Amino acid sequence: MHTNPSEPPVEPKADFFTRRALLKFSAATILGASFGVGASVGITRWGRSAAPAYRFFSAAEAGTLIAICEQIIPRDDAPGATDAGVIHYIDRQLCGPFVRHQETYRLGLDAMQKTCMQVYQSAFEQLDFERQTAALRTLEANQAPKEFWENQSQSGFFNLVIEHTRQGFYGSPRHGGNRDYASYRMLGLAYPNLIGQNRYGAKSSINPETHATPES
Amino acid sequence: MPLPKVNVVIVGAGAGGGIVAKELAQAGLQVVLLERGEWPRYDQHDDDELNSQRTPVHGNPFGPDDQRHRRVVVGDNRSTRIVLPSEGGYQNNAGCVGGGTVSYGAMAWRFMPQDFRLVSTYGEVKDSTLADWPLSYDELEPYYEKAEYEIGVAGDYTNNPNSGPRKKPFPMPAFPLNTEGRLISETATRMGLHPFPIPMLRNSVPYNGRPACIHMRSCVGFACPVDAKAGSQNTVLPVALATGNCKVRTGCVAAEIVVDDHGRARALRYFDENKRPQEQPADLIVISASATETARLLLNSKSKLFPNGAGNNNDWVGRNLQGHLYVGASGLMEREIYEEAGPGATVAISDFNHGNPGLMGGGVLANEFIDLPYHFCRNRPPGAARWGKAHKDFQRRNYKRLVRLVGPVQEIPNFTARVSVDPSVKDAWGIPVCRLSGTRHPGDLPTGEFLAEKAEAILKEMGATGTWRNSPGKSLGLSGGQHQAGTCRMGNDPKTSVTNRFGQVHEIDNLFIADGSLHVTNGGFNPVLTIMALAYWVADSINARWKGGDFR
Amino acid sequence: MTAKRRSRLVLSAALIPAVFLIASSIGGMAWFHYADPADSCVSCHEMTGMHAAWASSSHRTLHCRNCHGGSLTLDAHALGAHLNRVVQHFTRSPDKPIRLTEDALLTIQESCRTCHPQSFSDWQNSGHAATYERIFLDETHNKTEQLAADCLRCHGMFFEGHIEDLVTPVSSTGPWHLKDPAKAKQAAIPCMACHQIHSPTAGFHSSHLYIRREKTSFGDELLPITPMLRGERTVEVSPDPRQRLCTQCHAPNAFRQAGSGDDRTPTGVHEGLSCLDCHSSHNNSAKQSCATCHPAFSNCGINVEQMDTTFRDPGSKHNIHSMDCGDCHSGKRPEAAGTQ
Repeated sequence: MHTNPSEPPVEPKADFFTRRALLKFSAATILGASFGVGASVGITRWGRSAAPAYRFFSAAEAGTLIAICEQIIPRDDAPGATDAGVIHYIDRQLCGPFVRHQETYRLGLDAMQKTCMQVYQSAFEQLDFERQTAALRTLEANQAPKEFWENQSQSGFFNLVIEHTRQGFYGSPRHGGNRDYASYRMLGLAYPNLIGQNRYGAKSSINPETHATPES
Repeated sequence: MPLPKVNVVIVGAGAGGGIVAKELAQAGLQVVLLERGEWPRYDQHDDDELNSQRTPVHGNPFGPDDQRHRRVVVGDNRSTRIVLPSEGGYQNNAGCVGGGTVSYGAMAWRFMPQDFRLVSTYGEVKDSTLADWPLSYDELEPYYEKAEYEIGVAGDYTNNPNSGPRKKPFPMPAFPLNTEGRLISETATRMGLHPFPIPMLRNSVPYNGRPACIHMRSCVGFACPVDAKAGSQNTVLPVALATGNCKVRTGCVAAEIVVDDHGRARALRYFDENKRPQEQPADLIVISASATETARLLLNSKSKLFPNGAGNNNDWVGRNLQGHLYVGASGLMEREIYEEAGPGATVAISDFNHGNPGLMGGGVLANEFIDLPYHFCRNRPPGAARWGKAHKDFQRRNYKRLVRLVGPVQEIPNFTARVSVDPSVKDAWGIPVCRLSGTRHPGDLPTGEFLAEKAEAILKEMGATGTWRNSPGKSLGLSGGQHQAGTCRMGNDPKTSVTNRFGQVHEIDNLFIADGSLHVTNGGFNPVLTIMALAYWVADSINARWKGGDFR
Repeated sequence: MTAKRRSRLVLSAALIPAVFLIASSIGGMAWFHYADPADSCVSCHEMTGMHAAWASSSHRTLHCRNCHGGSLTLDAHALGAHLNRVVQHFTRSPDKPIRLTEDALLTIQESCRTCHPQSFSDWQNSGHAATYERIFLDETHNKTEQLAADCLRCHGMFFEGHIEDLVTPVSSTGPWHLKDPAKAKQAAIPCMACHQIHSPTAGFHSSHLYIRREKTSFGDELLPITPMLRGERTVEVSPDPRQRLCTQCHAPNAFRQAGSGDDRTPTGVHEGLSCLDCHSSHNNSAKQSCATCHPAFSNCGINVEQMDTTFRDPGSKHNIHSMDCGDCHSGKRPEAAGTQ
């Protein structure tokens, strides 16, 4: 190869593909691919925490609240609050439009448990149905031991749960409750609301046989 | 920097503002219409009961939102509390283009001739600000008619001898009565009363390019999926926009009417959708922001000549806040009478609006709109179980058997029921918020009790078992709500009113009001058609004077 | 520094990391693409419900990638989508479940076609294959009935936006056009309007109606049986659950009168029959269906195969959906065919 000595030496292109460079590329490729696979596996393993059952409640809190809701709308020959997934309605709203009620639930459920432990020596959800009813009647009348309810109105807490249970049971299923629109079926209310739109017998310009418009 | 001057700036795109915008734009004036909310979209909330303007469990679907708005309510013992728009006590109407007309039940009542002259009819009432209107039913009649034809009302008054005279029939035939309506109608007729179909701002047949009603059960509290329900947003506003003379600016919150040292309203200060302060100069300013918000805006507009707020030198702005005490009766029928075809309210009785012995006024009775399942949980006789199997059983057994007959009581206005602005609490834009105080007049309670008793008598005669009254009880409370009115009443004497008979603020020539604030009294009827008729009346007077060269 | 050194530096500083990144993306993606979904997709708990449904569905032998396409294609777009999903996993509001976009759904529809060519072509030749253009730009319709949000309940149910975002103007005056011209030729009632592919019996015995309001599909056995009236009389309605799905869109008016609105519930001689007794499920054709029950010549001597059974004219006495014996016979039992 002839080179003019007055010019700076031109780097031969082949230098990019020296063995060493090729090695580097191969290493980068292999390492990269392994890293990618590793990262994917890693991310999926890392992300694979068991799906939490609730967004806001602990399992214990949920257990208590489910029992309270079931008292408010008990199962009979129609589904009750538990079947309709009312707990999921409340849990979801507490991380959305009901953020302001988080404190009420946290304090209220805690006070409820302390009350039951003192009065019945048992967790609320472990009581039989009639005793649960009695406990809630006491709460409704603000008659539970005052020491557990200093930061939280008894009837205020219970009234809130009543409203939310009604909403979760009778509201739209899209908010997490009213599973399979259990309440609408109980009431005999057709859902989805069924209304025909072809109100004036308008003749479509589409031919139903050929699906073509007269012009086409 | 001020924006380029326009002829008119209107605040609020509801029942009043939409009509004024359309009338003025059609007359060739350049109009800017400011609205704090957005254009409503049906499928943002569709038929979700928990997102209904009636049961705003997750916030008001048609505004205002809980994040940026609040009000202060003064309780019995002068204690104050802050309330959010979706909470009771806020006296909410709505906050979107169309205002309350998007999600209302759409009853289209004319007030009766007596409703405009209550003092002449009944005499003075102690501790009240009861007064005659400065205009008569006959003067307003052509404007009622215009509202009925332009917005679109379906009705038939053949069997209603109590209404004032009307020159033309309704533009659309009345809606058929449902089972509940037929039962009530037959019974009331037997009792010597005069039941008739409720006039509705809803298409019973295709009208003005919009389709006929498809009878959704979710109607009141919701937008209409086919635009059969008539509101500013689908009637007058499209016409106003089509003239090319009207611009609607959404997301804009009015802060202050700028009044100069000569007593002229020079401009409107507001925050645009990006919360940037703007100043819109105009020849004319029209406020139609609802009885609570109109009063608030006037009170927040302090100037050299009006140190207590625009037009408030005699302390009448924000006074006489009225709404409607709702009373009636409920009962259970032996057989199921529920009908899928909504919205449910079909029949009315107007025999008890006036001439009730010993009472000032009265109210119209109508069967209720369909209650969706969650709202229905409240329909219980006194003392009924609130929870447990008994509550569920009632729900299941009676959802399709309940009959209800309810109505609004003509309230007696009083000076202490009022909107003022709170000295410390501000909204998200830094504007002082409404402070609501006072109560209804005690004279409303016997009227309410009377009306509830009449309603119960009809239901009993109808064969309903286990009837109970939804009577006012002993608590007066403060009125307002969706039927809010009266806070800038019109009158001939500037000392006892805020505007003259044309909605023009005394002493500020180019400042007008066109909403329920103008109502001297609020009738025993849902007020929207009167708000609409007044808006046409106000716009007519503005147009006539504009042609004569005024305001420029 | 010599040029050689400089280029070496460039090589190591830029190219090698680039190669590393590309290789790692391809490697990671490829693993994700080919791994058992139980190890990949489902490791996000947002996916567990969907995966569980799929695992017990008739499509359980197919891998996610076989149908989904879109973000499950081995390409750069998919990489972006996956990374986005990882970010969303940690940031998204719990109220927002993962949903397919309409585009993704139409991609899946192409996969349906691959395995179900006959059903697909039947559908394609039916009224249900109507495009957005056909549905929303039909002048006669739009002049007679104003476009409304409620249109999207039965057509364009997967459209992401309001009716105002789809077609303009929303009025009965026109002229109308689609805001996004690309939508013109798209199917407005795709397979997923009536099928939930992850359902245990997808496509065989049951159908699932997509309910736009709830943004989810409901099995037809959960849909309400509509009590139907003819005048004051209650009409006997077929117990076939599939018919409940038809009735959701081919619906009567609010007064539940059979034959009103878009309803075609049979009354009269055909009362109690299911839509599917005469109409095939995908092409909706009812041709030749009379002969399924009737002999070629009925006992009254009429050739049922040549009868005018039009339903387009609501006043027609031959309307097959509402025809009564009395429409042809004046109160007498017809004489036997043989005596003619």
